[in-house]
Amino acid sequence: MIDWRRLETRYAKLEWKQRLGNLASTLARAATAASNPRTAASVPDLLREGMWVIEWGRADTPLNVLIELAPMQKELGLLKRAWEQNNQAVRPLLAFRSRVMSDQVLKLLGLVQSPVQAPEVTRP
Amino acid sequence: MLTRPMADAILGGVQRIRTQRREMVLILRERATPEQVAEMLQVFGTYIKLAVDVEREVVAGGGELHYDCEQALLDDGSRQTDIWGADWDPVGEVRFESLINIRPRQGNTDLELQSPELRERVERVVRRVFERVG
Repeated sequence: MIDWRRLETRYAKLEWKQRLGNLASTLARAATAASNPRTAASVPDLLREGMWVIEWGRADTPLNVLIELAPMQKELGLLKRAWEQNNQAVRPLLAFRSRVMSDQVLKLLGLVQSPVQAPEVTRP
Repeated sequence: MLTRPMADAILGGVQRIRTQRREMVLILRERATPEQVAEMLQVFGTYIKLAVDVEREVVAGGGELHYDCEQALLDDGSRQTDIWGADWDPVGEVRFESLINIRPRQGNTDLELQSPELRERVERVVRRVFERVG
């Protein structure tokens, strides 16, 4: 079982941008883990970690960023719940949404221009 | 058929909802017992995270996250728009800071509950359940 208090102590040493960088990588890891049956067991803990990281950032994350993160915490909780009820059915959705949220966090950090990079398509 | 009032009578007005492996969220419709407060305090030691349904005047407490308490109330039949986050500190303080309170569509753009009227409603429900316990 994960020791959340210990993890909180580690995250508390980071400034909010570093913490969000970790959140983006945790969400990307959840997306990858969900896609692979061998690593799927770690998905609930990764989603819960994402929820905690958002919670721990309450005090020092800028409000405009927190407004984006608050519904994300809720969505992570709902995805975790759905995963625990039927992980086969929710696997593609969870992998997709976790990746989109990871990109969204990177966008909040100014590290990418758009949450989903759509390929250029030329009409025939 | 077991109705809600019958279930409440059996459970003493308290319902336990398991949200994850470690802890239980309690649904409280009336004054908490000292044992229930002690149980909820096990999570953080010095305070209790709560979600409050200001219409049904029901409190969920004891989750690690306000989200856990909010989900317990939704499972119990609450409407999302009626639920707000708070903390109870056993020294007698109610705090109104929670991520679940950031709801721009309902006019709250901060962790803190910004409406004095809403704060008063939340505080009244919390004090009814927690004040003078034990």
